[in-house]
Amino acid sequence: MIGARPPLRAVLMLALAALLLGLGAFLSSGRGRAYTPAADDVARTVVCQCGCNLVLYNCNHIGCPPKEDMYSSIETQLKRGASPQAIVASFVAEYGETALAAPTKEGFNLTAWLLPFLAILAGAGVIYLALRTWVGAAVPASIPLVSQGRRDDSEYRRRVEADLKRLGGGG
Amino acid sequence: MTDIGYSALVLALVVSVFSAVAAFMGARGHQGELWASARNGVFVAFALLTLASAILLYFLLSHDFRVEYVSQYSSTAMSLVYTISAFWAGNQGSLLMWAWFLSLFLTLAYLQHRRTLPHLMPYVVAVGMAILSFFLVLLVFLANPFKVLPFPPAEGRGLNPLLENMGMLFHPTTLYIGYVGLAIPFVFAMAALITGRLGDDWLRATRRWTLLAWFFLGLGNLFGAAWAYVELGWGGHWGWDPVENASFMPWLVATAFLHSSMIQRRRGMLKIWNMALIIIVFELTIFGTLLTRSGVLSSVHSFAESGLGPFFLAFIAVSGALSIGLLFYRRERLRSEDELDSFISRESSFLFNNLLLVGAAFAVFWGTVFPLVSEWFRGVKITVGPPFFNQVVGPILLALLLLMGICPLIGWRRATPGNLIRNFLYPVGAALGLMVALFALGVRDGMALFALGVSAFVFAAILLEWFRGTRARARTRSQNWLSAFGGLVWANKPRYGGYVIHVAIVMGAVGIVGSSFFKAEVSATLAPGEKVDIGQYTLKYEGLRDYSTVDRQVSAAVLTVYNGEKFVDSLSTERSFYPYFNQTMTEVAIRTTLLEDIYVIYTGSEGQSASFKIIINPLEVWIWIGGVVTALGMVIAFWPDPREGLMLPREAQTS
Repeated sequence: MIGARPPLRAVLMLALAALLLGLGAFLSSGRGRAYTPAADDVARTVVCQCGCNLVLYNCNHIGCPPKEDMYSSIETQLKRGASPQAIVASFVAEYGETALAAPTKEGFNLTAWLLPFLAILAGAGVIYLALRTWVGAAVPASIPLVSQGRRDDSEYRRRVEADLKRLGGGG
Repeated sequence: MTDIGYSALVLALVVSVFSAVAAFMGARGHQGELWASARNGVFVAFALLTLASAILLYFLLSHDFRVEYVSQYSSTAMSLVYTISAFWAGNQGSLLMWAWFLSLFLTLAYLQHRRTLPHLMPYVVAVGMAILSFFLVLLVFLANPFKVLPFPPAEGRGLNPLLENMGMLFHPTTLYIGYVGLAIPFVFAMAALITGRLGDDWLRATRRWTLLAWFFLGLGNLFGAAWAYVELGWGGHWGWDPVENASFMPWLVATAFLHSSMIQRRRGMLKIWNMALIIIVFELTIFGTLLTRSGVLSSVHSFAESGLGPFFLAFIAVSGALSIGLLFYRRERLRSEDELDSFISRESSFLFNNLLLVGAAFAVFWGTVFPLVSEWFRGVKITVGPPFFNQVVGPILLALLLLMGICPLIGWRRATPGNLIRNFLYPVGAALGLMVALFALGVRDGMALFALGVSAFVFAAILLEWFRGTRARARTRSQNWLSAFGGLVWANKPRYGGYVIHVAIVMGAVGIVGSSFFKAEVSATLAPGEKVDIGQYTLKYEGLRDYSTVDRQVSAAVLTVYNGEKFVDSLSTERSFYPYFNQTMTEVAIRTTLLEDIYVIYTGSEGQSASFKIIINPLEVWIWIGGVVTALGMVIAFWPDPREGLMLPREAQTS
């Protein structure tokens, strides 16, 4: 800057000051996320290949090399415009299906997703049939509680039922 | 001394086998002396296993590294607490603990019911000692904890640093009490099937055993989750690891059994189903033990692969076949005594409760074993991780939570439409009100809104039940509300203890929803003095502090937490390097309030700069509070009732 004309010197000094201030602001606020949110989203769907059996996002090994490599690959591919599905497919191509944190929803793997719900539906059907049998076999409520010749307790029963209703019987 | 310890195991095996056979033959042949001898074998086996356990403990406490097990899992640098916990740190010691607990529980169950159920006890002893024999065979021939090293080391390896946490004291012990405790209702059920005494006696006799085992199994799961949360450093508490799942499945099915056994005691129904459930529970506890030791599925929890897998599989196959065969043989005598009055009744809602609990257990089981299934059928290895379980098991558990609120609102035997409307009105109103309020506050995640709404529904339903019961009691007995409430709970401890546990489940559900759906995270690399914002907080990194201990080198990073300008707390998170294990571990920093946890993980450093992962976990603490409230509910439900003793037969004891 020595020898520059005064206006230019002023401009350069201002620019330098702005740069320093901006840098200071940036540093004092701490550098942001180590990984981008988009990378984290992909990392939640694949398994870290270090052997921890955790999804990549949750791998807790300090300085884990496979984790660093996988995240680096994700970030690089995202910058190139690759879709999350394509990134995941690249991991599958490299590591096999064990790279996926969950089975695919196609082919044989569909049985993983569907069988529990089908089992519950089947169980519900069995319960329905069992209930029909049990309820159908129940003693009908129309059988009179009072036989002929006995004292009529209907007024007493009416009072008991009214009391029960008032006290809110729920079981 | 190792010879004494091993000899005690061998003798215990001989006694157990003798006791199992003699009890069965003595009962079948009405040979009183043979039965007396068999029953004495229960006490002798317990004494021998206690001796073996005491000897192993002595070796650990005296740091006798001539014993291979002691040298593998302890060192002189370990504190007393961790030295004791080394007893169950490895395969051999944990099997010995299994066997000791089983012999203890069999002894107590025998002493408890020898006069009330004398016709069942020989077969209880026979089946129980047969199970004990299996574990003793493993200990004597395949997993000897008293094996001696030809060249003992000067120092032991010590515990894996991950295990040096107070969770090591509580998590395995409570889990094992739960696992082994569930064997007691199983052996009583088998005794009932063998004898043909298929009434409710075995069920009433084992209600407290089932409750206690269920509680400890749940507690063990919770301790494990808490340990994972504070130790593993990924900010979560449940990873759907195969071994975690293996302890969750029997807990789910045991929960179903606890509920459906109520139906059998009240209405004489679901006898076959209850038998099937207790068989499934027992086999799942053995399956869990198998998973931890066989290495068939990768898990962060597994012991080193031990070669015991085929033996456990064989035991599951044989015990499962025998018990199912017995159940099939007795099926005609297990027909329901009663019928249902209505489709809409508490009984039918319990059936759906069972369906969802067993369905959830099946979903967890299927997801856990699917990698093996995939390999068998397609030759392709796959992983089934949290995204699967969250999407499949999550909705089932949510439906179960909803049912937990519906069941108490429906009367026994029959519910009328008017009754239903009256009972559901306020809880539904509470749920809708909360959902609208949360939506107005900006919550937009549909699943989170629904889950919290369901939680409000369940909580309101339980409160309504208490309110109505207290009001009825206050009116009829002219009591103040506090006395009426206390009297209400005391008059029906199992029921109201159950409601307290339901409230605890709601608390846990709220904690899970909060920490799952509303979590905030940020990662940052900071130089001393730099700050990072997360939510309403600002964390300022103050600097590093390095120090060493006997077994590790520690780097501690200190951060101060501010809410705006207001100082909130100072947190210290550490990274420790263990030279002996060549392993680096983190100690996270957690600041807990009723609303949220601030969770800080020190992930790395360069010079004085340090990298952190900072997480806000809303409502996380309610998961642990739910555990405490569960314990309270258990105490209430478990409290002795003098009337219960009158329900068990007092038959003359056979000679």
